[in-house]
Amino acid sequence: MKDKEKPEPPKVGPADLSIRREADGGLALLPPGGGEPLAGVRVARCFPWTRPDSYISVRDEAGREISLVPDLGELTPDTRREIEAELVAQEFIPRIVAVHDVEDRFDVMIWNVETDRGPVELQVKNAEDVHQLDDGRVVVRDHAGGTFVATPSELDPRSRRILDERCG
Amino acid sequence: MVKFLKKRLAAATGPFGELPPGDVLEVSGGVKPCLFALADVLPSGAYGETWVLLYERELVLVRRAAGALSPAGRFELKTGLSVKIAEGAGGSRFRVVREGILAAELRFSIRQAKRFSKLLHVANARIEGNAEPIPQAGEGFVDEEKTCPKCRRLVPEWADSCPYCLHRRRILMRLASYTRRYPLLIGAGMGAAVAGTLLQLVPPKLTKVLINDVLTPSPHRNEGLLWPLVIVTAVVIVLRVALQKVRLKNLAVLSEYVTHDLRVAVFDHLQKLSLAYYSKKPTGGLISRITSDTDRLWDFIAFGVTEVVISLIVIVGAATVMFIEEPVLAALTLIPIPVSLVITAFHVRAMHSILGRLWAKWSNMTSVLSDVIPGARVVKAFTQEKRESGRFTNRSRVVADDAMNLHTEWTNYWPKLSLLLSAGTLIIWSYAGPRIVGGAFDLGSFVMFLGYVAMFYGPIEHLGMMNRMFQRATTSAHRVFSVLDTPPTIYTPHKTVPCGEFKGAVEFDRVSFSYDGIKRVLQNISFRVEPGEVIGLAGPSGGGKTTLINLICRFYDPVEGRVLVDGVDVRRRDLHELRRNIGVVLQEPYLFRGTVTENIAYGNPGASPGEIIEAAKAANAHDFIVGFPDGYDTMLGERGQTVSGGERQRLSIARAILCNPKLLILDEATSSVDSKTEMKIQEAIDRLVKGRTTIAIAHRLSTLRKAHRLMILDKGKLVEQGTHEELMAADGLYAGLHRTQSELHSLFAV
Ligand SMILES: Nc1ncnc2c1ncn2[C@@H]1O[C@H](COP(=O)(O)OP(=O)(O)OP(=O)(O)O)[C@@H](O)[C@H]1O
Ligand SMILES: [Mg+2]
Repeated sequence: MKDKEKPEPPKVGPADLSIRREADGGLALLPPGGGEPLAGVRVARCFPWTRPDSYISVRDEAGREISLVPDLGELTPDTRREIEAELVAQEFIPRIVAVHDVEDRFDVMIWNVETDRGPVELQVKNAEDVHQLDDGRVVVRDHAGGTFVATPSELDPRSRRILDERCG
Repeated sequence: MVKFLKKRLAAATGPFGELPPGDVLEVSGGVKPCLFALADVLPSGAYGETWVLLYERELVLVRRAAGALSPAGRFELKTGLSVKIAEGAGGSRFRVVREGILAAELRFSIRQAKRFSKLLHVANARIEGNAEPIPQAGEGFVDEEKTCPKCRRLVPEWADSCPYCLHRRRILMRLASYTRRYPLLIGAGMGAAVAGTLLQLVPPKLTKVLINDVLTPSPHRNEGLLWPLVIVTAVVIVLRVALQKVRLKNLAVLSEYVTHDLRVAVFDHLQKLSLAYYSKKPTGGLISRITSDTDRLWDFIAFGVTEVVISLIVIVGAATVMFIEEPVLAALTLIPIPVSLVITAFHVRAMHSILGRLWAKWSNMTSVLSDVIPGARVVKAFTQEKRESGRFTNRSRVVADDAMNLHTEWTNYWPKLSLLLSAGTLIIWSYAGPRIVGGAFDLGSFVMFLGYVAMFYGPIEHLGMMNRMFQRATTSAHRVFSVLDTPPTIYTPHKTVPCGEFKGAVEFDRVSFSYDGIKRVLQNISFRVEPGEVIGLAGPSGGGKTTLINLICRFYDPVEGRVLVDGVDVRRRDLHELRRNIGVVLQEPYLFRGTVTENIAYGNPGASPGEIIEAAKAANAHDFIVGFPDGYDTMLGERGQTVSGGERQRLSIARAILCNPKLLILDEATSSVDSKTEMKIQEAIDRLVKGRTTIAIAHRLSTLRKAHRLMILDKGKLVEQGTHEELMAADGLYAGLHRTQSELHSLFAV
């Protein structure tokens, strides 16, 4: 029954942060003062949509913050490489490069799109699941919770027109 | 091409069947796995295909690259091996670690997450040597989405069969079946419609006789026919108007009945549906199904259906008469028809897309309303009125701009069609004109013919409009039926276990739960509560306390394990009997628009005034209620907005107490009242809880002093349980929380 809270993780400034990849595939923190590496470190973007590359939060396994990195440039090159690789590997947000067509089927829209990850068919349940960000990008959320993003200005006119028809 | 398509579909919908594809099965050894999942992302980030198959004793990976399958790993499930999921944004990674070394890492998108979550859980249990049962579909409420066997599309939860493959006609038939209950109305209405339309064919014929035999100066002119003809025409006109009245009246009444039936059926059915349904569907959408969709169906039944029927009769009738009387002219009349059909088809397509877009923009505009109106207080507090006005103005303008396209399309289509049909008339003129002048063709026949031509072209002009109405009505009907077709996931089974008197014992037997099928909000929880026991439930925010009581009330069913009340699985009990014996005060107390009395007596409308006052006193609400000018007859605003947060809580405590439940559940019931009031309520509850089982959730641990036993939930796990003293001695999470709160307390006491 006894389950004491794990000790608080150290608080580390960006410049002192040292992260390395462990043999089991996870990230670990090398505490600045030396000592046991802290395994199970996670990273997350604070503003994944509006400013993806600033304010990266580095946290321990229980979700407690170890470091808040306002700018990746403040990190040592090795740590920065590890964190950037991790951020890319843990994300899966395909970019829509062409919209072939959108069919309306009663409650569901079927989107037939080409993404930078390959062609895919999306089933979108509500009109609200297609919305435009302030910077003009369009975010599409499919029935399973997957996120897809398109930049209308980079699309061909036909795709742009279909996209424009679908979001307010 | 076909292969490409198949691949795309596989990536899109995932392996939702019972078995992985046959070729994958073959490569893995040909035996049916316990569970399997598809890792649909390659290490590079592109879509790909790696299958993970879990067997009794091993985990097998099979990769498809360039169309060919190859084994990608085989791991024995034994100590030293572990599988993990590293969650990310939109996708996650599945890791197999052997003796601390990463042996395989697969990426998958969120689409596959449910499968992986299940697989991970079972695989780890197997590694530890537990014979973890495989979660079966349908056991917990979190289920795989169904896909249509024909088109491989996702079948929405509410549908039995794939709506894409369902023919539209079936929906109309279903709608028609609702009218069958009113045979007189539909008989009278349709009969009048048909008779009136056939009568319409008479006047041109009379005109012909009038012109040829009465008006044209000739030897066999028959002036005596003039008045009889005029009178017959008058009679026909009067009859037609009368029939029209009969038709409109009967059909309007019929559709009023039918839409009433539909509205009530939908509302009734919504009451039966489980909470999970409500949390998935936007409220506005559900409301509009009951209101505007049924309204659109009213229009369709009252006018649309007859419009179509009448048009068909007119077209067929007029054409028949035309071909019998003047075959050559009739053939000429058909010349503009193919072109108008093509124009109409394009028009219908354009309108469809414009309407769809307009609908999206419209809902975008109304979403500002449903967001901002209930939040008026926040808007004012942060002085953002201007910004909200601006937001609404922008979206309203977008709607207006788009509506312009609609009008443009419409106004472009009309003149084109008009011109075409007029051209048809001109063709007839230019063919018949010279012949009339030459005497080869009589004037009467010509005028009669023109009458039929006008009749024939009329419905064609309306074709576009009718089609649109038709489409909108089938869509509305579908939205309405889709609610009716949703089976409630939580219901009383056909065979309930008779339970005798309700005692209030609660037991959790290895219960796990997840709202979305991915994240486990409760993990393997087991405990027992004896009748009459008072349990305090505490723990960090988000720990799963509210979720736990949701399971006791059976708002949701566990994904794994059983919840027993008086020793009987709640899934085998009568649902209403269960809930009647449980009194709950929810974390967000909700009051309805109505008087204080009505709200307190909500669960027990027959309660006497004395009982209501007793309950209010117990909840320490009596004094403030009497303080209202209207006392117990005070009207509360929508959602109980007109009373304070603490008052709202006390009213809902009174409501729960009045039901005299054997099991009382208080979820943060006194969080918004001051300490003194809380103490008083606590005393009253202490008096009340004698002989009742009580489960009280509180963040202020002092509230839980009287509890016989405390249970601490953290991150979905039951981490500690015991008396206050035992938990303090154990020096765990509870002791920590308690210390912090005492420190705070003394801080304020100083
Ligand atoms: N309807 C829901 N759909 C999806 N996730 C939910 C839903 N309700 C709660 N959750 C999630 O489940 C977890 C447990 O929530 P729960 O309401 O049981 O917490 P709690 O212990 O009552 O917290 P609190 O003390 O803040 O009331 C949280 O992480 C929450 O985000
Ligand atoms: Mg709660």
